[in-house]
Amino acid sequence: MDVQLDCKHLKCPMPIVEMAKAVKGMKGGEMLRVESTDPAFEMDVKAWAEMTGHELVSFEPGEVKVARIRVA
Amino acid sequence: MVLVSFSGDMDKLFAVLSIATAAASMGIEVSIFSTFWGISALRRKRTYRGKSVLQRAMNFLLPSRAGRLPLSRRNLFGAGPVFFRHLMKTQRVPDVEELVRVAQEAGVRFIVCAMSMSLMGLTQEELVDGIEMGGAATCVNAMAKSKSSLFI
Repeated sequence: MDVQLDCKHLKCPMPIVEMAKAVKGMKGGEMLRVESTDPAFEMDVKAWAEMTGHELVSFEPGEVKVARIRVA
Repeated sequence: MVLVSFSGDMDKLFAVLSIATAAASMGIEVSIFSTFWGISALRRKRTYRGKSVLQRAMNFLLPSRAGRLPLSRRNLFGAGPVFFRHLMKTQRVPDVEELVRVAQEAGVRFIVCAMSMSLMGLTQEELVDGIEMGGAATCVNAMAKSKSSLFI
């Protein structure tokens, strides 16, 4: 099952915290879609994926940034 | 990761708690050793019962809870933190009390220096729940096993 996560208006480090929480309840191969307005989100989501082993499938920049992650 | 939380300044505690929470959310084991002024971040109330006169005096001079922490610069006799907290509220940035809770939920371990506690006349009931007591050896052991250690 795919999970949507609304992290709009959350400031650093909260989007990462919410993502870690969401991933805990998910299985390998499932997709997590995260929306964020945090200016640091692009760098942070990449760093988070690298550290945790989850795969950042796509990233859309913009005012509302969208990251799609495949859970490892 | 080991963070020695020495400072009792709100701004520096932000750095400690943000790094710790991010690291824990990235799957890293994190321990925060709170010592001296840093213990104020974990405080929820003040009691004078069963304390010596000097301990009571020390207690009076320390912030009674995390919501009363000063800034390391531009404290402006207590006005600085008031402005800061207002800005944080409007920008939805979590405050120190909230970040401690978030950090605990993310799996950060909080260990308080037992020696500082007794020096400052603090009791465990004055701190938030889920705090462990430890000493320098506990801290050094964790640091020796850890890839990164910071003193803030």
